[in-house]
Order: sequence, then C-alpha cells, then structure tokens
Amino acid sequence: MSTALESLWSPDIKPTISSPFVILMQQADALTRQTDGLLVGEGRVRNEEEKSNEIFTLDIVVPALGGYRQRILTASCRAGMVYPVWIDAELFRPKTLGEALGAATTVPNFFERKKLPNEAVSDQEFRELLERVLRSAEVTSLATSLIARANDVLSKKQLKAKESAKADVDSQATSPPEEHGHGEATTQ
Amino acid sequence: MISFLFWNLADNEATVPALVRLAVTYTVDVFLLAECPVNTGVLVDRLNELRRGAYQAHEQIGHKVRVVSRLPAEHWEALFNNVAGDMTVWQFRTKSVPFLLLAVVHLPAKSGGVRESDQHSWAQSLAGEIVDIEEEYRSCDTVLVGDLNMNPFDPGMVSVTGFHGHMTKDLARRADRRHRGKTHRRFYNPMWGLFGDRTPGPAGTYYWDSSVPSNHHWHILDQVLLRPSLMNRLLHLQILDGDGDRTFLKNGAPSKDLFSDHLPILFQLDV
Repeated sequence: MSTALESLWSPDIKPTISSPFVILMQQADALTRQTDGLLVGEGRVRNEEEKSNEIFTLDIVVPALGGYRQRILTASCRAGMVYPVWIDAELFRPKTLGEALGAATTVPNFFERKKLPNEAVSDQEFRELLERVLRSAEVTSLATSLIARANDVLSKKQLKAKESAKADVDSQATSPPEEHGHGEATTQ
Repeated sequence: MISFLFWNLADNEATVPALVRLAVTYTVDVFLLAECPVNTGVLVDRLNELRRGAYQAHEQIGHKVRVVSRLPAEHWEALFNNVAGDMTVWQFRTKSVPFLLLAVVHLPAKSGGVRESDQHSWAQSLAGEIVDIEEEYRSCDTVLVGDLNMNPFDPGMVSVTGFHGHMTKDLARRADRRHRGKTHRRFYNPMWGLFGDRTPGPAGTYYWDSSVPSNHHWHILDQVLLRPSLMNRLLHLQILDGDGDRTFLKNGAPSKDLFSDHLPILFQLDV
C-alpha cells in the first residue's frame, strides 16, 4: 500500500527561487519599458569585503539629464547566503526622532531576535518589500519628477532643433541665387 | 581660484543676510548649503542684488544640500544622488581640472540613537559609492565636503573601510592601501589642523554644551576632504566665526538663536 510522501521541509524551499539581484534586474527592465526609456533602471552588485557582504543597488538613470543617476535602494546579504536580505530605502528610514529612538533601542537579542521591517528571508518576501519601496510616495515622486525634467530637456532640444531648421530654411530663402558664371570665366 | 563655502544653516532665515555678507567679505563663488531655510530663489535674488556675478541655484531632485554658484551653469552637472539624498555628486569643469567631482553630503546626526557603528556603516557605503562614480567617470579628482556629523578622528572618517581620511599630506599621498584583498583609496583631511586654539579661527564648527564626564566641547562635524591628486590645490581653509560684520558666536559658541549651531567652512581651490 502506497502513502503520499509527506514533506517536512519549509514550503519556502522550492525550485523557482530567484536571487535578489535577478529580481532587481527584472524591475530595472520593467522601469525602462514602462517609461519608454526616459528612465533606465540599472541594477548592480558589489562586494563589501570587510563585512563579507554582498551589496545590490537599484538606480534610476536619466539619459536626457546626462546620465544622472538616482539611487533608489541598496540591498545587502551575507556573501554566499543570498537570504535573508536587508533593504535600505527611504521608506524604511526613521522619519521622526521617536522612530529613530525606537529603532536604536531595538537591541538584537540572540535568543529572541525580532525580524526587522526591511528584512526578507525569501524571494517572495523580497518581492513584497521591493513592491512597497517601488510604489512608495518617495520613489513615485522621484521618478515622476525625473520624467518631468527629462521631458523639459527633450522639449527644449526639439524646440531648438525646429528653430535652427527654420532659420536654415529662412536663410536659404533670403540668400541670393547661386552664381553659375565661373565656368564661362575660365573659358575666356 | 574658486572659493567654496559650506554651511549647515539650521533652517534659520537669519542666515540669509549673513550669506549675502559672506559673499562680499570672502568673495564666495560656490555656496553649499545644508538645511536651507528658504527657497534658493530668494537667496539667489539677494546675492544678485550685489552685482558681483550671476548667482544661480543648481537644483537637483531629492538632494539635501543645495548648491548656489556664480560659475557658469554649463560647468555644472549632477551625476549621482544616493538613497535619501545624503550625498549628491556633482561634476564641474574648470580650466585646469576638466572633470572635478564634488561629493556633497549631509549625514544623519549622532543624536536620535545613531551609534558610531551606524555612522561607520554609512561612511563605508558612501565611500563605496564615491569610488563607483570615480570608476564610472575615470577621475579621482574628488572633493568630499559637507556636514558629516562625525569628527575627523571618528572611525567612519579614518577607517580604511570608511572615508579613509588622513591628517597629513604625507600619509594621504601613500599608495592605496591593500586591506583584506581589496584596494582602498585615501583622502586628505585638512580639518585635523583646525582643532583647538593654536590656529586662527574657532576651535571647531560645532559646540556641544553638556556636563557628560568626557566632553571635548568643540567638534569639527563640517569638513572638506580631498583626494591626494587635489590636495596641493587647496590654497586656503578656514572655519568662519562671523561674516565680516556680525559674529556667529553667542557666549563663545555658535548658536541657533543668532544664526546656526554650525559654523561655516570656507575653502579655496586652485582650479
């Protein structure tokens, strides 16, 4: 008689898990597509050897503003471990003195360690935290402001191009007709 | 030569006329202003009434430190703003240094539960971001300036994994330091030389009046550091305790009641 094999492993363990870097790169591409390339998402990874940490960053790059780069978040994990991963973004930073003091008095207790609000232990949790950051008022206003400034710059460039094209046409219209007498002169 | 002035204005509008007087007394070309109490347009209007060049605000989205300068706008370009706008990196072009990087920072204060280890961690993060920008633009001509909310001797300022700032040119010009398999660039931190009363000017940029058992009272939280390639271009550095007309000190210390609890730093570069 056969019985279904019962798994005692955590349901978080599954074959489809992605690393934070892959998830960040997907969202970087999503931003580029969503803004038709006005804003370009860019993910990077580097090592922080002193602490044996890996650092992932997600930036908005604005080609119309000379490649200006706005960092949206950094995420760090222990090298080789990938999860848990901690996100540093404006959303998770204390806004008031009370919040700051609260954060400072959250003394890590080895036996009763509280999970931090910016901590993700799986790719699903990382996606959820990332969504909160990317949809936050801070990031939304940054991105919309950058788009508006990029559009300003592009409009000015287009206007300049139109004006210089019009000036070319005007100068051609007012310039005297081209002389064709050189050939005759040389045949004298 | 270009004169820079960094000042944390503590959101006090009384600093605006003081900035105008500073522009006259010290012929300031570039103002770098943290906690600016007014729209920079107001300040620009006041400065331009002086008819000493055309000052402009170089605004950037989400940055903490405002830049107002009378150098041509096309010489300025914002390259990078980090999470929370703690640091904005500008590029500006001069005749002698075509690609000077100016990293302007305002880091969180020690109050509010911030620990030395937090500050070291931020310094490590910012130092890494500066190197990333230097690599991307292939330039190590970098000036780091701002309210770092650390003293030159704090671990975040000194540590090889922090800003790696050195108190003398001889130390700063040594080859990059190899540490745990990675190379770390150095900064020269001339602010060390301004502590105490054996040099002209105030003993620091910030005064902490407290009865805690160990208190050195004067702190230098506002600093300028230079990569070794630029350190010989530093012509002058001074902590200012007045604008030429009025003092910034009350009972011998900077005070928000008058202007700001921080004193401005003035530095001139041969660029």
